[in-house]
Amino acid sequence: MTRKDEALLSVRHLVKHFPIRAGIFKRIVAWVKAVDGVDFDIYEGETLGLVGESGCGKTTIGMTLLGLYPPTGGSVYFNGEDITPYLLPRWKVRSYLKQTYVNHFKKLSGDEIEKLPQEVRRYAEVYFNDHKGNTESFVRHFTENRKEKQKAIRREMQIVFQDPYSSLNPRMRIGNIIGEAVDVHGLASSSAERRRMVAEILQKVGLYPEYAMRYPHEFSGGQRQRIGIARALILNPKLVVADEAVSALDVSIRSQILNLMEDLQREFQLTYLFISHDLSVIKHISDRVAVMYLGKIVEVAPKKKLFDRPLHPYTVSLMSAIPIPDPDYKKRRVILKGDVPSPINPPSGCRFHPRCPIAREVCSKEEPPLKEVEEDRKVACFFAGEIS
Amino acid sequence: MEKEYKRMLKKFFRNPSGVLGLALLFFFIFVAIFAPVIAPPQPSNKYEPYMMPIVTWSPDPQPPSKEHPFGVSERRDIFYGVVWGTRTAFRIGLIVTGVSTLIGLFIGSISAYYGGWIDEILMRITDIFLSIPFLIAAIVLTTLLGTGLDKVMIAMIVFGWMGTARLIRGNILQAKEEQYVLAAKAIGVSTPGIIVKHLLPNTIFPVLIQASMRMGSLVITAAILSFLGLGAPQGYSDWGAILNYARNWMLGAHGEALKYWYTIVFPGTAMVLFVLAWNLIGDTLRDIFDPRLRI
Repeated sequence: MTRKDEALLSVRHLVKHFPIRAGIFKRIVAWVKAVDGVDFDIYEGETLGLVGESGCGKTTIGMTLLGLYPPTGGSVYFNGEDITPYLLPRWKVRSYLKQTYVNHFKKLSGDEIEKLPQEVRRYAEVYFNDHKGNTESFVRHFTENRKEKQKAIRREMQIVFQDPYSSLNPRMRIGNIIGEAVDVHGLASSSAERRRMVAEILQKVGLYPEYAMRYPHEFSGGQRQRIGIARALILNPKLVVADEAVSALDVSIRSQILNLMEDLQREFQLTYLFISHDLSVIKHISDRVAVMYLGKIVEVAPKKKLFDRPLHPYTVSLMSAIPIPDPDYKKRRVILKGDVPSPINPPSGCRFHPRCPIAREVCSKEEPPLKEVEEDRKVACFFAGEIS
Repeated sequence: MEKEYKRMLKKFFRNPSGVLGLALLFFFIFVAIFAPVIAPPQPSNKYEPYMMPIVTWSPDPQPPSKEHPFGVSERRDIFYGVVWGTRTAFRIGLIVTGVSTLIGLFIGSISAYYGGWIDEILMRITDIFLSIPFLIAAIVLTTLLGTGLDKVMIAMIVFGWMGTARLIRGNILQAKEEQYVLAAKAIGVSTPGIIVKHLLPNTIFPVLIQASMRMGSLVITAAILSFLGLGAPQGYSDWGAILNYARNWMLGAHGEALKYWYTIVFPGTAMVLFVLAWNLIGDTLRDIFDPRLRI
């Protein structure tokens, strides 16, 4: 199912901090470190589940990938192309490119450049060969046709939102909610074609084409979520970020929507980043799972491996919290003490160490890197696998 | 949506004060439209129908009579002035409310949508305008621009947009966190598109209510300025101007305090009813759109 050679979306050290402002001069007094250096890849056609408790930064990742929040740091590659300049405000593009590429390249020798990660090396070639080492021309490469490129990215990446009630404009007809994307991207040459496209996508998500004339308040939560999916899919994107897409629905509707999303994935060859706090949903739909804790990814693994044998102590405690519908089954539960620390002032070293049952001295001093412990399995823990 | 509108209309017509307001408003609209029929201008001032004809050379007001049903004040027919003044009232109300609401919407929505420094700067400008006492500002402005109805309207527009700006800013600040706005951004809708198609339709109703309330009070403000002699030129059909004529006769004659009552009562009543009509309509709209505000 997964193609390991090239990732559709690569996220490298993504950082998103939100400023907290106070006082009359709106001085920044602190930063909420919602996402603090996250790396992951999504391969074409797979579903990556992103799981973690409330406030760990899952949704922020989704929003940042789509450019709804500008990233504070890090890079996002889509199909090997750096799309970060299009997610950032224009005035930051130059300093981003200098920091990420130019300053780097200038210091390195030819051999060292050969050793860079593939996605960075590609831009070294662009910089030295296409632009002959001219920084201005390299920056222009990213600032030219900015609007068109941003639109192109929007066509490739779409999002399905959590709340089916607030995600549809109450004063627009369904046909216009879905058709707006067609207008913005100029996909239909006539209003008849637009109507046909809307009708087609409505049928694909299991609604009647006649619904195009109705308003959102006439629909149930499940139907609204189908409309939200239709809005995302009409652009025919490659990657869909599903941000808690089924969390607001009740259980019977939830499985319908999950099945619909799986069917659509097959039909449109979609890739999903499925964000949820619900382990059973993640288990149902994901191919691989990334576990987040306080702005960091602590473990990434194929679903089966992760659920069978979690390695990070946080994953272990999550897994042990899944209820098993068998009254005779007695299992050892790992119950965490205390609350999630504040993302304004996260703990030193490993962010999980104050609550970790196997923490040692090194954990509070050094931050464990997210490194490969088995094939396609990465864990950020010095003592991975000590409890399970 | 049609259903929603129907429901709102139904609610509106079940509300007695709303119906009364609407009836009054329709009455004024009728008078304004048929002014040339109700009070036909004399052939001599056919080309300037807004000028009240001079009907007598006696400087004293004359009580209501058959030819002059509302009496005569400063040699001019009050009935004619009140009828044609309806047009002036509508013109002031509609133009000033319309333009100042548009300015307010523009400044408020830009301020709320972009936030940060833009918000800070625009809101401080709004505060500065709010902190200037309106009457003094209007007097200074008309001194600079010269007197006249259009100048009064400019003064009222320049100092009349702040309430709308603040109101729409607050509403948009609330609405811009809704997920449909994020969804529109994710689709790639442009900023003006998001403001016009997504934010304003969901936030504009309180502004419309406020505008309808203001429509009436603006006419009073215009009358105040006319009363101070800043507004309409001599003889122009304007309720405030007619009241201005009454200035010398307000205290009545010796021993007869109410002798010249008609110089105030007729234009005054027209004004009060006009303001009442808009306020009743505004109140009813508010009750319909936001039942929480009902006291």
